[in-house]
Amino acid sequence: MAENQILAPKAIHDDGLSNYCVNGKVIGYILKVYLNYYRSLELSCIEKLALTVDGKAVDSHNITFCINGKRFMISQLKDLFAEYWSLETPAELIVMSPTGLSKGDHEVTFTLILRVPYIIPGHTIDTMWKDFKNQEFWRWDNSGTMTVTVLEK
Amino acid sequence: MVNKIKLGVRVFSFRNTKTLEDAIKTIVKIGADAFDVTASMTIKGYPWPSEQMIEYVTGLCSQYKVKLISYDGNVDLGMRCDRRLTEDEMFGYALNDIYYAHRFGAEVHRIQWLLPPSVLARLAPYAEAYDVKAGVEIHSPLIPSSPAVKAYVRMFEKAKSNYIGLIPDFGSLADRPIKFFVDDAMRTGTKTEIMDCMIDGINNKLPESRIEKQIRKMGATEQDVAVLHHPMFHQWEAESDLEGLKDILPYCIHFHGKFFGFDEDGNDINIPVGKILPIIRDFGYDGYIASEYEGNKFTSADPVDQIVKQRALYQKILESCD
Repeated sequence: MAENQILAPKAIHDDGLSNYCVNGKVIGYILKVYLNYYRSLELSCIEKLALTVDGKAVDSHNITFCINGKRFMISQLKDLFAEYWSLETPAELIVMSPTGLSKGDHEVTFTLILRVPYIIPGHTIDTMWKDFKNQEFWRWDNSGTMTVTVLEK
Repeated sequence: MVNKIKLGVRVFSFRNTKTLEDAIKTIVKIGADAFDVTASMTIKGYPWPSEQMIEYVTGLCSQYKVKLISYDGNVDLGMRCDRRLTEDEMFGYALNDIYYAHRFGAEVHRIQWLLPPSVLARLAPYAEAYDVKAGVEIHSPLIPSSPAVKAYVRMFEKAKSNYIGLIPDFGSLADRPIKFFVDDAMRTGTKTEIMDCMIDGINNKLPESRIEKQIRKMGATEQDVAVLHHPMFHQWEAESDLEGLKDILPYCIHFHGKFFGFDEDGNDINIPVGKILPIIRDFGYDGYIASEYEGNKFTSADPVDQIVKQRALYQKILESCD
């Protein structure tokens, strides 16, 4: 049962990268990313999300962010404050790519900067209620570079 | 004074190293019968968990004969990219959380410190309708005597409701910095004289901007400045606010027994529990204090061992005569 899963200690697992096939043809690849935080967050807290694979930046228009049974564009994420990235299920980033990825190791740089929506550094409670214009929330840089293996083409 | 305080455990202590069922099994094994959940961490589907999830958790409580004391929510003031939530929106989210606290069988709902007193006052009749006590957590850098906490107390005096209150986290009563944090900073480059200057400054309640100027004059690095401003650093007062604690006791509906670890003599490393617990006991508080281990950021000590140790320390203090 999903409720009984031990949660992932890291964002991308060994089986996190695979090719994406439609009608028997590879039309892209899928990167599964767990939220590397201690609690779930609204998708609108994603301030920056970008991908570089094998040294080449991926055009964000070619990325579909799949979560909770839904499929979103990266540009939509900032408005999705009623959609949550919870801890036990990874987001699936589908990257459209005519060649997909070869079997073997690939270097993935995942840029993820999160706005932590309940911490405002430098403000105390005493100033916070008076200062509704200033919205400087804590930013958490969750980016990283890792080698991930595509197990089969 | 007869001790009526009961001791629970916050599942938050284990972070995500245990499933909820394993956390409950562990809690039972160490002799506790009550727990808190931080819903955004532990309850899949938060803020709108499924019926299946509700059945699962209430089923675990029956199976293992444990009580859920607090269902904790979040006030995600900055969830939108364009503006903060309004008071109405904070009210709406908290009301939703109180509904689910009721569905999960919780006695208490923890609200984060971002929700203003006026909104907590509005929640009172709804909390009563759902038979869940809603409390705002007093978490560092707040202390019981902070103006913000006094604002809640003024509201409580007018609202006269048993269904809204405060949840002090013991971290708000720390009287020194977290030793592990200080050691880590110094191990990674912060010089003794800079650290001493920062600690002195905070003990003397200097504004951070002034302390920053002082340490920059002393040649502080950007890492040193980051240490100064880090949320885990300036979380103490030179003297623990025990008088403030006494003043707010009538409004306390739950407590978080926050701790980071113990020194060689078995004392809490930064929270004077020997003084805090008798105050709460002697007031006649008969609710729970829920252990919350937060040393996992700094050491690889086993959270379970640490909680067992803490419970023994708390029992010893509570059963001793002053």
